[in-house]
Amino acid sequence: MKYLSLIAVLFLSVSCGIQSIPTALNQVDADWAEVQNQYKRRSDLIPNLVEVVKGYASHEKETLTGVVEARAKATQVNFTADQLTEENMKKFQQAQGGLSSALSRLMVTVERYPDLKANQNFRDLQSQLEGTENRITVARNRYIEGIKNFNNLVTVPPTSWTNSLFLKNSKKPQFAVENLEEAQKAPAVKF
Amino acid sequence: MLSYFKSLLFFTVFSAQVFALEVPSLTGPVVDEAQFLSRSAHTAIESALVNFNQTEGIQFQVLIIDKLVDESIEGYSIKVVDEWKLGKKGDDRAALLLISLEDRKMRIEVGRGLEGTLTDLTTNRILDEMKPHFKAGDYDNGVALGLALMARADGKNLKFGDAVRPRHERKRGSASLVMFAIFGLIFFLQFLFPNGRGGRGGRGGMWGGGFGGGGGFGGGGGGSSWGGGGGGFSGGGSSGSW
Repeated sequence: MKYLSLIAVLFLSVSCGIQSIPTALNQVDADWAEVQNQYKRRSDLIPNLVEVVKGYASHEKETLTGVVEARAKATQVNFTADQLTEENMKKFQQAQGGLSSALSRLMVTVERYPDLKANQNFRDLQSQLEGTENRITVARNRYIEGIKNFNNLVTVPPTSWTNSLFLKNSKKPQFAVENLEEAQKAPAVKF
Repeated sequence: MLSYFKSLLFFTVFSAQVFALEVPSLTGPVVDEAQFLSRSAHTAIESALVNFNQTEGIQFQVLIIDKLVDESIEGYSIKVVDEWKLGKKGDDRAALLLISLEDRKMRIEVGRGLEGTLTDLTTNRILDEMKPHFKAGDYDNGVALGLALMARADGKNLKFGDAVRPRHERKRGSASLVMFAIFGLIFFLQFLFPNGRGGRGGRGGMWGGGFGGGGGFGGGGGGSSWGGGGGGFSGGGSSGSW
């Protein structure tokens, strides 16, 4: 009895995690939804982009198909926050990363078509795409922060004790930097 | 194009936090670390923004820094709004106009509540309109024009004091809607202040000279009443350079 009340007092006085862990979990869910939302936004822009580019650079078939296919692949890979195992996360990142590199190949190709670059429609799409890339960055960073917070709660005492006793959540996989090599190659393209 | 790559690169490589330039403290609607604006413009813009916030409930903020340190303007900008939390919580109608002087870069960061009207596209065009002023070294009018257009995009009028009259230079064949908005704005301003110098005269002199403290405007917004209210941002807006 004395032991029990000691635990009760401890739980009341120390931040035990009984509240903060589920809160952090909800935050992770929300952050992940935002990540998906922004990736979706990007993929919604692509059909228009492809259409506009086709009008000026129809014989760049390979690059265009590359984008369309990568987009199709990326839209198929969708996970809710609690489906995110290490492996699923990898799949998701691979699919979206594939689309990112297909898009940057397209943007390099576009450099050869001054008429297309001057097209107002194309410029609009380009600035929307830039904006979306930035939103994705922000959403990813927030997700990374959210995961860090959650993982700290479930692995660092004293909240980790509450977790292992009652909540039994496991650590969540973190976003990794993908295609690092490719990303480092990108700035070699000079305009 | 280049900025597309930069953002892509930024999003792949620097997704982890980069600790670079610190966020200055929020002392008023215009935080000018680089002494970019003239004093009269600074005062006039501050009081206009305070007034705008009071009447429309939209918080516009200007931040001008010397230069970025190991960071993209997008990264720094989101760091600033995350710290300042411009706009009211849940309402989120706020925007930051960030200018980095030495890098010649600028960005409009849009709060969630304004994303519907101040889209990435709109902000991009606004930055395009500001560029010629900046290129010519006419920073005061460039900033004023940018803010006025930002208000315009949301269907509001941002009124500066007598001393300030953002003037627009025509660009070849740009979007007619934006042009329309700007002409509307110029007309409106000229209607309001008919006895000023006409918009067609030589450049310069718009701000400085005879207009000491910006007409009847006093010290501008007091630092104490200006602050963030917990507004949320999610990376909306656009970046540009001049």
